[in-house]
Amino acid sequence: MRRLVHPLTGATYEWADDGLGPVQVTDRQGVTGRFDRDGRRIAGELVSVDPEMCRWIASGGPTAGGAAGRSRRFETPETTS
Amino acid sequence: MTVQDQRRPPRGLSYQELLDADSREVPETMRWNVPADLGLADVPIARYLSREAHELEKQHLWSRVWQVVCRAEQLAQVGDTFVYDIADRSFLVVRHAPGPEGLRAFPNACLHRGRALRDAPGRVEELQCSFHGFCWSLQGQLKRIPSEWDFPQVRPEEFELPRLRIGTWGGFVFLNPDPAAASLGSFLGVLPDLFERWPLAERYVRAHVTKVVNANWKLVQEAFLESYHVVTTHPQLLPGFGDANSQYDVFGNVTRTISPRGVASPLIGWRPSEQEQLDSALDVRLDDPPALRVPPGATARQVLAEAARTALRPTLGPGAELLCDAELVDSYFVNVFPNAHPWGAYNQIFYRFRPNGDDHRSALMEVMLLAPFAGERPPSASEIRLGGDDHWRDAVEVLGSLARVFDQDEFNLEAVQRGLLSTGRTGVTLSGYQEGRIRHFHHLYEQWVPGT
Ligand code: FES
Ligand SMILES: [Fe+2]
Repeated sequence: MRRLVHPLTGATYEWADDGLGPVQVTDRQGVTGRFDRDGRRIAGELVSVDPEMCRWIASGGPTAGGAAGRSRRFETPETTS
Repeated sequence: MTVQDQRRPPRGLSYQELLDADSREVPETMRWNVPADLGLADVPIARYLSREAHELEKQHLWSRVWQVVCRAEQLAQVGDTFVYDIADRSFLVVRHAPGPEGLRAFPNACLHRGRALRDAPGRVEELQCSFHGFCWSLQGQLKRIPSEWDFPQVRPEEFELPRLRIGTWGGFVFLNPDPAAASLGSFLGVLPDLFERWPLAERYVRAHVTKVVNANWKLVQEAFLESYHVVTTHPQLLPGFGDANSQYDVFGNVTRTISPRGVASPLIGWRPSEQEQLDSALDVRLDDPPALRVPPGATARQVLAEAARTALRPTLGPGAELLCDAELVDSYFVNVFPNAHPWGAYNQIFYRFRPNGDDHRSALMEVMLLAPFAGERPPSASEIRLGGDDHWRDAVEVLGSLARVFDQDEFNLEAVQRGLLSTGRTGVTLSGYQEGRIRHFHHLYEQWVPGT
């Protein structure tokens, strides 16, 4: 699970590649839902999420580093592989 | 409240105050602080949507303004040619001799029956039309006509290819179809001063991606002229991006934004730790191994600056030590009217926005990464072309996390075009300070394109 907390809402966004929609979102009250990369609802109780955050999570993929994490300014140990 | 008052963000430091804390001396040009003060009027929506506006742009803007054609290294050898298309016109740029005077630009059209002289870039010894074989030298002088006896009216000395204005700056070739245009130097104004410390001619093309976006070119461009959209379009950046601390400046045909990184957005309402600011800047998630660590007593800005300085040492040598933190860390984005965007410092980014051929409803957004190098110039990356239904993330191998950021930007752009077609309003509302560069663009646009 690669989790990131939304800096404004405090909801947790994470990658969950199990065929149910790649992005799992859990709000501050613990209500969860599954969403596609554009924030469209696939399953779960939670109805509204930030689509841009879903795009970011989905495009980052399941593992840290690699091309998706590469900075244009410098390399970090995880991005040189 | 005036635009001057608006420059101080409601919470947090102004950009100039942030520069005061830099570990190095800050270049004088970063101390320049010239906001656009152009009132608060709406921008007419018809300018983005109407065919008429596009036709007026062809007539008054693209046929008269200095515009970027390509990188100079694409025309390095005698015989190299480049085809530059803008809206419905095509131009041919040719290197006929070494050195700065050795470039010529012509309308890309044969003087016989008008076929484009070249369809694509490439190296040639002469310019021969593939239709009937009229042929010109690289300088544009008529060399031969098949069955010359049959063209008694053609006098070779009167049948040279018409020459267009051309110039270079920063490793870019510029062209101006208007013979009466002011010089490139006067058009660019302060631009060479801004880039004095970061010579763009000494870069190579590390990545090159062009994408069709289904929106008017000005709408697409305007999404890259401010940091005001970061709060909702790129929320993941906020713990490490001072969106509301950005400084916006205008200088004639050139404008810039500088947005600090490695500081938290004043808009988030909580105070991330230095490590959280750094993790956000590097897209490190809660379960990921840390990419870099902030040592006790240090700041995220210092760590980011040192990582960038280390990466530049092999190419810049001792020059890397002189770069201040702001040059190494912050987003410094410059625009040259009407459509070229070289980023400052060692950000490496260059954008260009154009109509997609003669279609005013779609645009070409072009991105290059211009990296410094040591020793022999590395070969230019070949251009990757993405269609309107492709995604920026398809180019993640060459653009890295930047492709994912553009993916977020792109999410809004077609929807802006749709929204403007649906709204009952006649104008777009812009903020006074943070969207001042867009307002400034339109201020210039109105001078160039009357009647829109
Ligand atoms: S908030 Fe900016 S276009 Fe809607
Ligand atoms: Fe953006």
